[in-house]
Amino acid sequence: MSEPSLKSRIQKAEKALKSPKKMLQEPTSRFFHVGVELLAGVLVGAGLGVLTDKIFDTSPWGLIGFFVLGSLAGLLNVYRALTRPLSKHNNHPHA
Amino acid sequence: MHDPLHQFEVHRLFSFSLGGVDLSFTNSALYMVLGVLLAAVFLLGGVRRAQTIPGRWQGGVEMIYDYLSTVLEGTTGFKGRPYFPFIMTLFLFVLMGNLLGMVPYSFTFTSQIIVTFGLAMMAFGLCTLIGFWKHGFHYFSLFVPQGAPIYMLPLIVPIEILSYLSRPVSLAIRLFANMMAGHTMLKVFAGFTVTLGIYGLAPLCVNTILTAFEILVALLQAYVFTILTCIYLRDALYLH
Repeated sequence: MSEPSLKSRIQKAEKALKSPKKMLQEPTSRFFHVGVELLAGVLVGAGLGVLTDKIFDTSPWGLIGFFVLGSLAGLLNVYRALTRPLSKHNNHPHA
Repeated sequence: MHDPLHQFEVHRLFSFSLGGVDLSFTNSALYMVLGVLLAAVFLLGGVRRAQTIPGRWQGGVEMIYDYLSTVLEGTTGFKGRPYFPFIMTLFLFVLMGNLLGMVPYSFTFTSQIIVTFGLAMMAFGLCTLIGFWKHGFHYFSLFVPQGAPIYMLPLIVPIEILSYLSRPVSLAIRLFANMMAGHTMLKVFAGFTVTLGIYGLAPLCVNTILTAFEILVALLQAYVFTILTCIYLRDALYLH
């Protein structure tokens, strides 16, 4: 009586283990400060820009270029943070 | 009136330097040690007399273990299993730091950006190392999105690289900013309570609610830090 149910439970557990399908990130934590993602991109871009200018003496072009790229990366981060559980995860080839 | 930022000051408890490097033991370091000790006592005490039917303490330990284990398996699947100790350590360290900060007169080490950045770089560095270890130079394909037209690559690849590099920064800033903002706000309202006399009852009520909210933030930010690390780990393990 109890053996088949145990077997099916083991099978179910093994199946759940193999597929990282469920997204456990809840909305509260998802929308908590997505702005930070944008800020991080801009900061990293500006930092790399200043560094490039210092090393290669290209002021101000390194800062301008990397600032724009960093801002775009920040926007990409925000987009990723908001769409992550909906699109990226479900299209996962291993899921 | 008290300076609301006074609580974030790091000062030496005793000075010590090794080969010109300042390795003094600060109040920040003291609270980190306390956090680690607290986590160790919590875990070891909970499983000291492990029973089939857990008591409250053991139940608490098992709940945290179980929950983190589901989070890790939910995001990284079976392959992420070997990294569970790291994830659990990271979670408990951040959690204890956040919660210790809620004790009056204590110091919140997670409100120091160098601490959170150090933790974030550790998680980021580990994920990058795992990525290169598992995939070799193929790991660089993380920077090339699937199905992108070839003439867009000169623009997309630098953006992807910058986005990848901004991960530890966003991880560090999120935790640091949340803790610092919350604790500053608590202190500001506490200052109002003192200066307003009898009308100080209003900010006191606000502070009571804020304290509960700060405990929520302390738990939530430890969780967010951990789950983002899990997500970066998944990227390193599976590549797209």
